[in-house]
Amino acid sequence: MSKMSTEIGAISFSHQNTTLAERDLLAFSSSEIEQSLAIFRDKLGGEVGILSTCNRTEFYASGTCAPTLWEDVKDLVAGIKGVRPTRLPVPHQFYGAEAARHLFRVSASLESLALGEDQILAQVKDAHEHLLGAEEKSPVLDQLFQLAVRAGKDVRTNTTLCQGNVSISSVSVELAKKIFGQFKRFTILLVGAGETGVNAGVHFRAAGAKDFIIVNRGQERGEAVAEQFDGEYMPLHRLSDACVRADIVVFATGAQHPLLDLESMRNIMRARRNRQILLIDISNPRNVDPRAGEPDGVFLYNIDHLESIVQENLQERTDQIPLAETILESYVDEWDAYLRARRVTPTIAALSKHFKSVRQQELDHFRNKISEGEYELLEEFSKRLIKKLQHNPIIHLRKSAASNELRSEDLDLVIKLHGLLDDDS
Amino acid sequence: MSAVLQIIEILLPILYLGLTGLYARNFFDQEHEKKSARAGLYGLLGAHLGYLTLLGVAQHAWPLGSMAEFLSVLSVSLTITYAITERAEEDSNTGMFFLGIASIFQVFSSVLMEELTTKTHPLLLENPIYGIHVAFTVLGFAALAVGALDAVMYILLSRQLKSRELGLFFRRLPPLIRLETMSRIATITGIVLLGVGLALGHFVAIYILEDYNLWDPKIVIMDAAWALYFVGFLVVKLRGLSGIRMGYLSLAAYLGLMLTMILSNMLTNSFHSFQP
Repeated sequence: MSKMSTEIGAISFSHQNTTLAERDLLAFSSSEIEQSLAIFRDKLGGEVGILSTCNRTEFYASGTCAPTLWEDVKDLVAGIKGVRPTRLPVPHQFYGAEAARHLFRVSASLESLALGEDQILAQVKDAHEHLLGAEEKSPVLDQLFQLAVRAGKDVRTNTTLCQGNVSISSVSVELAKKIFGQFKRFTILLVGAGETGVNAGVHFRAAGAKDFIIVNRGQERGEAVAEQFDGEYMPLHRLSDACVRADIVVFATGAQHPLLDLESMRNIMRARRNRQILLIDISNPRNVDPRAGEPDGVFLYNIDHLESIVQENLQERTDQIPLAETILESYVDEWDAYLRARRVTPTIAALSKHFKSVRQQELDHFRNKISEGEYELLEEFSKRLIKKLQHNPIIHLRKSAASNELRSEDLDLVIKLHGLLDDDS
Repeated sequence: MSAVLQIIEILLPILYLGLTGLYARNFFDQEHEKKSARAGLYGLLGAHLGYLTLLGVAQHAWPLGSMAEFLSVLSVSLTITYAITERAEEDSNTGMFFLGIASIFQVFSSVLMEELTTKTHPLLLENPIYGIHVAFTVLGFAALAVGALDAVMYILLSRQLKSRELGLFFRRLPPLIRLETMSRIATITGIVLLGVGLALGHFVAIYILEDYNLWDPKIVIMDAAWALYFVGFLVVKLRGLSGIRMGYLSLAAYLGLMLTMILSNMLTNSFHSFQP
């Protein structure tokens, strides 16, 4: 287990600890983030980053503020959102390596409502962009978000966590692709112009479908949806004619009885000269009689079939969690190594400054006593000398920090031996 | 030369089966990298083409004087077709099927292959015009084999989609429509190429062979098999059969054609002796 660090802190509001209404309340738009970063920074006196998506709002901070982060920002958040602080929900809080691990898990979509979803990585990148765009630099959080983006990419590349579709609409599109390949040449028929049908249509259009027919009981609504998809409206009594023309049919109506049975499907297939047809019935109750899927060339999937595919894909994603966590642990280790290296950076900088100062003092002593050429030689000689004298101590400090073997006494000894504290004063 | 050819004849089926195994492993487990299979494919093609060239040089005739040689050329033609497809589609998931059938042809070829010293070749095989007839015929058989293989893949994928048990074939094979189109194009190509090949064979034989007999049972059987293939395809197209039935028919027709060819070959000692 990685050594705990208290350099950073995170507070998280997500689907795990808030209601949808609370998440809506806490959401920060892009412009709100830009405006708020400076305010938070002033208030906390350290680095601050904000990650806000439709399912989570999180604050990351680095510096002495980290352990009391929520107490420090609660009033500020309430002020920005125009609510009393007591109305704000209680966040999850993480400190040190746990905070870093949490962000890496978020970036890898292990913490997402839909496990393995793709959008979160882009949203973490956006949060990083906001951080980089702020007036004041945030080197620690910059490093943290860089690692988070890399970790998210690594998990997506080296596991199948984000593969396989996990929504009914995307599984429908995947099925249709396996039968028809590209959709450009094929016709999509939406039976029912409600929200579900339109959503399915949007997915097919995003996948390249161009030709739509909309069949709906109500003409006005049907024509409006047909216009939305640049398609053609046909009344419900012409469903069979529409099925003869279409290649993919999505049923999403509130009809209480089947709209398509075996006999009508046989007639449709005869008229189609047995060309393949995919029937996707996402209605409840079902709009297509299960026997209508019997003729050759008819592929019928109802909501239960699609749901079971979604569950299988989700299970495959769940199986990838241990592998993803192993990958993320390597990034937590890298984060710890970064923090350890950061601890010796000021000492190394002071040591280097100290040697330069001594060198300059000695050079000044000889400036008017030797010729210009001799002075240049002396300058070169002293430069090389201090470089060699510094080399071993600096390498030792870096190596022992990276391997977590550096004791604070060792650091104190280096500081005392070279009088680095005196130099600072 | 004879010893070298014999060694290659033993090695080729082993290499084909090994490469089929490699493609099968990649089909079932996508974690493996695919470069080694592709390198193996090109290596095998080089070895096979080199072998056929050596064989042709050694016997001063087209390496198509026997069923064994015909099967070997058929095998390499299928492999070339697959290599082109893999490169164009950047998809190696169908390799297991193509190389599997090519392996079967090559195994039979190596088993049936006679020693170079015991071979006798009719003068016909030394005629360069004969090569055109042979090229069309072999390419025709290869195209029909491709059509049948696409039909097999169509059947496998279609059955999974119909039963809603979406397994490996669902994840690995190309879309159903593409398989159907490829099968149809390959079958039409095969019928045309084989038809031209057979017609050229008659034409060449009439002008070169003194004792050419149009009623040779082998010729009659092959012509009839081709005609059945052609008419069957037309009828199926006109009747608009479903994709799955087309698939089964395409597969059965190809198996029937191959069986017919093997049986007709058994009627005479040499594939092109054409003696009554």
